[in-house]
Amino acid sequence: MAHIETSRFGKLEYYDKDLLLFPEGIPGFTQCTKWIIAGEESHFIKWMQSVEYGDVALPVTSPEFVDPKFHLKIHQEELDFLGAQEKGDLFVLVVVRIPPEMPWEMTANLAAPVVLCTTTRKGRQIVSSEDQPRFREYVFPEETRIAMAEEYQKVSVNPSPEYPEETLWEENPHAGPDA
Amino acid sequence: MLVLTRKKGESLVIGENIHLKIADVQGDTVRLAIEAPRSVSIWRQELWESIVQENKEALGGADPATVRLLFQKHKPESRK
Repeated sequence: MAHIETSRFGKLEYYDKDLLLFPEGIPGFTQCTKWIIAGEESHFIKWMQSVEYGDVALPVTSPEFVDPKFHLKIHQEELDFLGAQEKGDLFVLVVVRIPPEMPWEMTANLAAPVVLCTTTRKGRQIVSSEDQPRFREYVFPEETRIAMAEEYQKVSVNPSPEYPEETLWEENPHAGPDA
Repeated sequence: MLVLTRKKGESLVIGENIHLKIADVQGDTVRLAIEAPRSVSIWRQELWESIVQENKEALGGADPATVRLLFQKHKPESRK
């Protein structure tokens, strides 16, 4: 068993058999050739954690969560590269961009999915040949995003018990602190 | 960076086993024919750049603790 010190998960232990092998890395991270999947079983967001660079981890999810009709278009050459006999050997993930200030606005890159072969554990980020590539597809539908944004606002606008005066002061710049 | 000039029909050999041929030239458009092993991926530059950009933004996004906390109540229904 090996381990990696990570910035997001602390010390992570793993077996070599759990490694995902990316001979070319992924675009922007061509030096990262070995990854593992970290994160909670039940959570829809998992993390592709590099075992060579502890601070490199990308949120990923299943493309069907984002678009139930997602269909992977992949060339034979790519199947050959991954060592896959057929599409059924493949496991697909998409990279998710989560804006820190507005996490409900998260988007998934359906145009460039991460494709893994379950039999060889080889992976590659490919361009799925869609007519209109969707690099930033919202994960949540609009109604949900609006609802989550409102819920988040309610939590932030209620001033924390320690600083009620300062919040009022900021909202009404013409009023003095004694107003 | 190496800069070469080739005419239509001429080729380049890169490394041991990448062959690049200028298949056709029409005005300012060049059609390239590339023979390479499956292990070598070939990208249009602008596409490569966008994916690098998207991956880097994903890296800089919210951390697991924030994500877990905020989405305890909300998860996209498995829309199958």
